[in-house]
Amino acid sequence: MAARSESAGIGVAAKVGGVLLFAIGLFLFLPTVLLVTVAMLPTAVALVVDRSASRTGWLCVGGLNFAALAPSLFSLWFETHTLEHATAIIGNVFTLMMIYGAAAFGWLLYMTTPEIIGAFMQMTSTRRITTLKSHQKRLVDEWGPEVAREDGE
Amino acid sequence: MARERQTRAADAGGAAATAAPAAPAGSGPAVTLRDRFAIFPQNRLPDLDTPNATAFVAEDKRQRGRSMFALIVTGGLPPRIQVMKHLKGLRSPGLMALVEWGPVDWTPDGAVRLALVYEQPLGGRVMTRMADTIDPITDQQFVKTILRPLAVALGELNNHGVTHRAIRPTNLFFADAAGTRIVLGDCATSPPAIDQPVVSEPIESGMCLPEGRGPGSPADDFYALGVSTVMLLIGRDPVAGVGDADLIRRKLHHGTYATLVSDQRVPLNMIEVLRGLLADDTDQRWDFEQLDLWFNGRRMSPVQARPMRRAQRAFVFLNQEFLTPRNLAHAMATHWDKAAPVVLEGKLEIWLRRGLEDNQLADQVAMAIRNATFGGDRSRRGTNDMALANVLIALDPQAPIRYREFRAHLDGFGSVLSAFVARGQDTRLVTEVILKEVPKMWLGARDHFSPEYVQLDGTFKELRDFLLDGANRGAGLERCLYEMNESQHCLSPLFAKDLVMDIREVLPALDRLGARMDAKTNPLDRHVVAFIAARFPKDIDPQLAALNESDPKRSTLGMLSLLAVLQWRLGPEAVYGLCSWVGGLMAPIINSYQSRERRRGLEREIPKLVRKGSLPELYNYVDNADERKADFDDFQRARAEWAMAQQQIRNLETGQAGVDENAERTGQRVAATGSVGIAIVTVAIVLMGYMF
Repeated sequence: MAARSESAGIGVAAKVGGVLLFAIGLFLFLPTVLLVTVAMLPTAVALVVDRSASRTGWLCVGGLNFAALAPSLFSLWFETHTLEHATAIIGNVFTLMMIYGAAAFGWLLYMTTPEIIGAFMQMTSTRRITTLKSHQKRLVDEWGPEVAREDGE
Repeated sequence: MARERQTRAADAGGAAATAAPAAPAGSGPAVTLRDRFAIFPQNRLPDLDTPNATAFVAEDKRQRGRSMFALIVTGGLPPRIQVMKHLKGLRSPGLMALVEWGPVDWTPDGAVRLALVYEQPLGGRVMTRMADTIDPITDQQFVKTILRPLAVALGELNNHGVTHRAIRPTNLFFADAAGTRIVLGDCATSPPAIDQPVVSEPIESGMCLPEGRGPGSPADDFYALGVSTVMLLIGRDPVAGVGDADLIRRKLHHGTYATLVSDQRVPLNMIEVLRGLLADDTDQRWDFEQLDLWFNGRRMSPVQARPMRRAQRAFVFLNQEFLTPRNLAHAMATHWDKAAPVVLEGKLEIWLRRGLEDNQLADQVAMAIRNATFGGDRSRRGTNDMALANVLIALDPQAPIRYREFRAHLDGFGSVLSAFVARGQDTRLVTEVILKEVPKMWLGARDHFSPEYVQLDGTFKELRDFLLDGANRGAGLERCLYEMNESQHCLSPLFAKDLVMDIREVLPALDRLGARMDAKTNPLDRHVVAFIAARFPKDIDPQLAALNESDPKRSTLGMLSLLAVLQWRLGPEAVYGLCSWVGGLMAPIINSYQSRERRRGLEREIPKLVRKGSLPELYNYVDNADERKADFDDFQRARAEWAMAQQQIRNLETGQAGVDENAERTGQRVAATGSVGIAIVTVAIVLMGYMF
């Protein structure tokens, strides 16, 4: 009983600690949080709308989304980590277009890759079947149609 | 009808005169027998024709001027080959000498025919027709110049183990132009006794169909000699105009001697010999030894016919009264359909017990009926026929087997079958008699043991088996035909222009045909196989079994195997024509190999083997055990490969249904991985740009 109340106490403390850290982080890294929050919006949308079995759509969108964000984010971190700089980046239409464009490309990739893979796999098995059938035909030519009987006679 | 046929047969020579024909010289193209005897197809000698053969002028190339004629067997009935073998070279003053015999290429028919070259009798036939009247021979020297030579000739034949069975006045010839010496004519061109008039045959033989009399025994010849002697002495047939049935009935009731001689004027010194020769009881009938004693002056007491056992009261059948079982049996046999009910009702048995007082015979009759009715699946008619046949055997054991219209001695079955087949007649009765084992009943009715009966019993059992196995080649009626007729040539339509009498002649004959036969005709038809099976001395049952398989491959292998065995055992060394013929029939064997490559190999090799003319080599090649095993093993491997491929195809086709789902999942993973990868690489590049 005592152990249970102890672990519950730890959980609440962790959550409180987490919220405190986020608050401190928000206060300390506000420009970063602002930039990431705005720039990574397509990834958040992808996470919500993806209903596929593998649920990897957010990863596909997020990867390219983040790749396009990385130069701006590093510029924020390594040059001036200020709210003005963050809003300047967000306010730059070309930067934002590139970040959202990359996310859109990620979604496009997510939509088209299965089709390409499917077509490839289809092509491979058809070819194999053709090869096997050709081998069977050679056997029939050499041994006659009797070779194709499957009843053991 | 039978009488008419026999009369025609007995009247061989037609309206030819008895005058001595001059020895004509042959002219025109000749056919040569054994490179020595020229036979002239354009020079007919119709006076010397026999019912189954046509006479032509012949000439000995080494001894020109010697009077000869040839008989060419042109009829469909089989000649007596065994008799020819014995007659050739046999010289006896009472016998027309057979100088040579053998097959010849008979140009008028474009076929091979059997030719018999005889020394020509210069005085012509003694009688041209049985109804003729000639001058009685009243010569005091009759016994010495005529009867004795004829008896000696029969004795000679007896010594060789053959019977003549064609002794009748129309087959007696004056050997010299003066007509002082008489010789027995040909007896080898027709089946035994087939052309004999009923008057010249003993009672039992007279009851038979002409074809069913069989070679019989020397006693039958001496009987015929007795009848001919009577006719020569009185110059005519004493019973001319009497029907066959009536003649047999008279002989049965009164005995032969009384029927033929009692009302005639014959020299007193001949009565004793005629009584002896015409005795109806074969045990009492004179043979050569008794005749010889008589010729040498020893006089014996005249033969008296043994009285038959007579009943106290008569058995009435068809409003006629019968006192003896034998006469009753004959009447029943001639009125078959009316006799069967009488026998089955039991009236006969009662008469035998009470009228004849012969309980043993009554028991035999009862047993015969029981045997016939035993086995319920027979038809009523069949049961009646068998019962009556058995009863007739019990009533008259000496008589031939009688079964409806069929009447024959056991040794005459072959001739009946042969004649029926040659004429295309219905053979149903012959087969019924054998299948119903009537011969067994007849043999069981013998009153003494003889090894010959045991052999006959075995033979008829075999024949029955052949008939039961009738659907197969090498069995059936054809096999019975050749088993029962040693002299029967092969009746295969393939040999219509040939004459195959010996097993050794089969392959050469087929070889001659081979060059012009198409690849659809099988060389082994039912007759050829039956002929081979009956004549080949070794066991060929495995080959016959294979031959009769329904599988074309096995059947063809059986055919090739049988022919190969024949060539291997009997030769000849090479049969090119037959090999070519058989080579064209190999398709089922070639196709029995699965490998097309092997088939092509066989098709390339077979023509090479055909050119060698060796059937055993051909057989060994096409049925090579190692090749067959390799073919089988390879085929099994190929089948396994095919099945495995099929399984893989099936798996792939089944897998294609789920390929879209897999592809989607895989594609999404690939896209996600690629995207994350790009992100990492970009971060790394940018980071390095700031650091360095």
